[in-house]
Order: sequence, then structure tokens, then C-alpha cells
Amino acid sequence: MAESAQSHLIWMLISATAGMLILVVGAVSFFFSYQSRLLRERMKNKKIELYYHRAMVDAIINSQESERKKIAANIHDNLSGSLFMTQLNILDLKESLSLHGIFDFEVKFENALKLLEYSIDSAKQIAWDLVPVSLAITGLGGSIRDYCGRIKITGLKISFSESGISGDVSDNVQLNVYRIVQELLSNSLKHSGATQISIKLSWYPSMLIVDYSNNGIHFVFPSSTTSDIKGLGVLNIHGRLSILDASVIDPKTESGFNFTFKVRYE
Amino acid sequence: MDNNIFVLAIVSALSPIIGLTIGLFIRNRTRSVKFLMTLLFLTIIADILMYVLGRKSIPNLFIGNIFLLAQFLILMSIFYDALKKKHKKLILMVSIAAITLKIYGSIIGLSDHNSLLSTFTSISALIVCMLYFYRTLQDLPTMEIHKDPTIWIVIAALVYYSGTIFLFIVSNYFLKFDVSMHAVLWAFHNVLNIVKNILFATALWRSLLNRI
Repeated sequence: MAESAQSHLIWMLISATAGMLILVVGAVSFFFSYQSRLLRERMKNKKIELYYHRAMVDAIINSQESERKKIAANIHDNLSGSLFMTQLNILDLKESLSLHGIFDFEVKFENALKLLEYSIDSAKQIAWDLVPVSLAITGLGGSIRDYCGRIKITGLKISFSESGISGDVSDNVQLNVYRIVQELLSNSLKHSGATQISIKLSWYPSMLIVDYSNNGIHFVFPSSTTSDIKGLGVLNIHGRLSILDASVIDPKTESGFNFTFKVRYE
Repeated sequence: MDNNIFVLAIVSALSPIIGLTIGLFIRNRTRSVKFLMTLLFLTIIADILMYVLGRKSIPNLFIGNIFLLAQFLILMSIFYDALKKKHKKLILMVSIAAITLKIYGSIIGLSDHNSLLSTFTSISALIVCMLYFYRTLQDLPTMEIHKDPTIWIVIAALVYYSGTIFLFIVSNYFLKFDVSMHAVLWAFHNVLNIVKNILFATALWRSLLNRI
């Protein structure tokens, strides 16, 4: 009888312990599955957030480009045109006055003409900077080389090289890469104090690598995940990299500045 | 049968060695790793002491009581760090209550198994483990939660305390009225102890892998 009670107690103990262990296994399984489900949902939401962010940046940059095109067209068609006509009129007037033997105004006319010529060149330059027309004519490499050639600062050497066969990239990719290089050059001129700037374009089948470096003040380009990005230029570059779906390669040097990114194209 | 129980007791006493050996390979040990290794070391010492005293027919249950309290306090310290000091008051309160119960148990009888202390520590540990799960679900620290050593410590505590809670509740009854049941109860405990130590070893293994 006592043995039967003992056996009964043991079975009760085993049942209670087994029950508790089953509960624990259930709780742990629930925890693992629920945790992974929550994390998947969170990641999905983040992806959606990122998609909207990229779409927004895309829209901002596209509208910026279209505004630039409009301004450039206005400067080229209206302002440059009227300035050119004014120049022609003044030249005509100068010749008429000379024919009538009136030479006193010649010096003043010369000055006015020089100013007009300068204004026309400036207007052309602004229009050129706003929309790099050369992209369609000389391609990405040619346009960057041309842009570098127009920067003339004493003591600064800008070298540009291009290797590989230029790929068939869309206008949008070309324009964004061009703008990034333009922004990097502008930042280097303003802040780096560099004496040498090097830009390399390397073309591979379906991939373009842009390598930009200077020997100025050491600067590490902030990553897109950095919460406190200062400067519109950096934000602009990140926006364009995001549009290009480009990936940034870790800097090679610990001095000066190096920024390399690769863009895949079809 | 007795022989099997003896083998089980030996395996249970030696089971912390796996975790301790893994722990020795971990460089720059965190506080949790140090606590866990101390706990495993104490497990071996407590088992050896209990065996030696038992052989000399000296009451050894007080060592078990002290070890249970030490184990509970060490686990609470690990959970305190894991919960990022968020439930400081609760952990402190249950730790003080466990110490008080131990002192009370010592006053009423040194040689008895402190069933009240064991039951209290089991329930408290289960609550804190559930709290850890709740916090982890709120914070969602990582996708690969199985790579976190703390989760294995929590699972070990859950398995051990949920498995032993009824064992500890009825242990005093069995020990007072049916001494022959002691070996069966102890065998039960040893199985859970082996599982717990293997899970602790897994936690240390994960910790080692995370540092490579």
C-alpha cells in the first residue's frame, strides 16, 4: 500500500515536472518565433521607409535639375541673346560715330564692349554650369576633363584620367556622377587646402568606378548612416549616390581625402 | 538502480567542467562570463563537499542550501546586467528576500533542506526570466537571438527552476516521511542539473564564438 502511494507520488511529481518543462519549451518556442516575426516586420517597415526616402530624394534632385535646365535655357535664349544684340548695336554705333569723325567716345565704347563681352561669357558660363551640355557631346569623361580644365588656381594641379571603354550609361547616371565630382571638387577648393587633386574614371563592363582624392586636410567622408551629417554638399552627394544605387568603397589613405564609389549600369 | 543513480550523480557533478573549459578559452571575459564561470566552479565545489560530508555521515544539506542561494544571487546579477539595470528594485528585493529566507532557514534548522528558500528562488527566477523575454521582445536587439549568450543562460535557468520547483516543494515531505525517496529525488535533480550545465556551456560557447 505504502509502495503504491510512493509510486503514485512519483508519478505526480513526474507529471508536474513534465508539465512545467512543456510550458517552458512552449514559452521559449513562442519567444523565438514571435521575436523573429516582430523583427521581420520591423525590417519590412524600415525598407518601406527607405524606399520613400529614396523616392523623395529622387524627386527633389530631379526637380532641382529641371529648374536648372529652365534657368539655363532662359539665360542662354533670353539674357545671352539680348546681351549679344546689345553688343552688336554698340559695335554698329561705334562704327557710325567713327565714320562721322567723332572719336571721343571710342575709349568709353571699348570699355562698354569689354563689359558686355564679360557679361556674355559669364552668362554662358552660368548656363554651362547649370546644365552640362557637354555630357551629350563629349560624354562623362570629356565633361569632367573640360570642367577640370576650366578651374585655374595658382598652385593647384588637377589631374584627370580615364581608363577602359566608356560604357553606354544613361543621361541620368552621367549627370549624377558629374554632379558628384563637381561637388567634391567644389568642397576641395573651399575647405581642403589641397595642392593636388586626382580624378580617375575606370570603366568596366557594366560597372564604373570613380576614384577621387586630394592631398589636403585629412577628411573622412561621413557615411549615409551617420546621424549628424553637416553640410548640404554631403547630403546632396548621398542623395545622388542613393539614386545611382552606388556603393562607396572604404578610403585607401589615412591622409588627405579619398572618395571612391562604384556604379553599376546595364 | 543504485549504480545508475551513482553514475548520474557523477555525470551531474562533472557536467560543469565542459562550460568551465570553454570559459578558459574566452579572452576579455565580460562580467556575465565571469559570473557564470564562478557559478560552474561553485557547482563542482558544492558537489564534492556534499559527497565528502555524505560519505562521513555528516549532515550536508546546508551546503546545498548555501549553493542554491549563491546560484540564485549569481543568476540575479547576470540578469541585472542583461536587463540593463531596468528592474533594479525587483531584482534587489528578491535577492534580499532570498538571503532573509536563508537566514531564517538556518535559524530553524541547519541540517534541513530549506524548501521555502528553494521554492521562493524558483518562482522568483521564473518571473525574472519571463521579464527578460518580455524586455527582449520590446527592444528586439538582434535577428539572430540564438547567438546571444544571455538567452542560453535564461533558458538554462527556466529549465532548471521550472523542473525543480515541484521537486523542492515536496522534498521536505519526502525527506521527513520517506527517506528512501531521497535518491529518486536527487536523480531527478541531477538530470535537470546536467541539462542546466549543458545550456550554460552553450552560453559560454556562444560567447567564445562571438569573440573570435
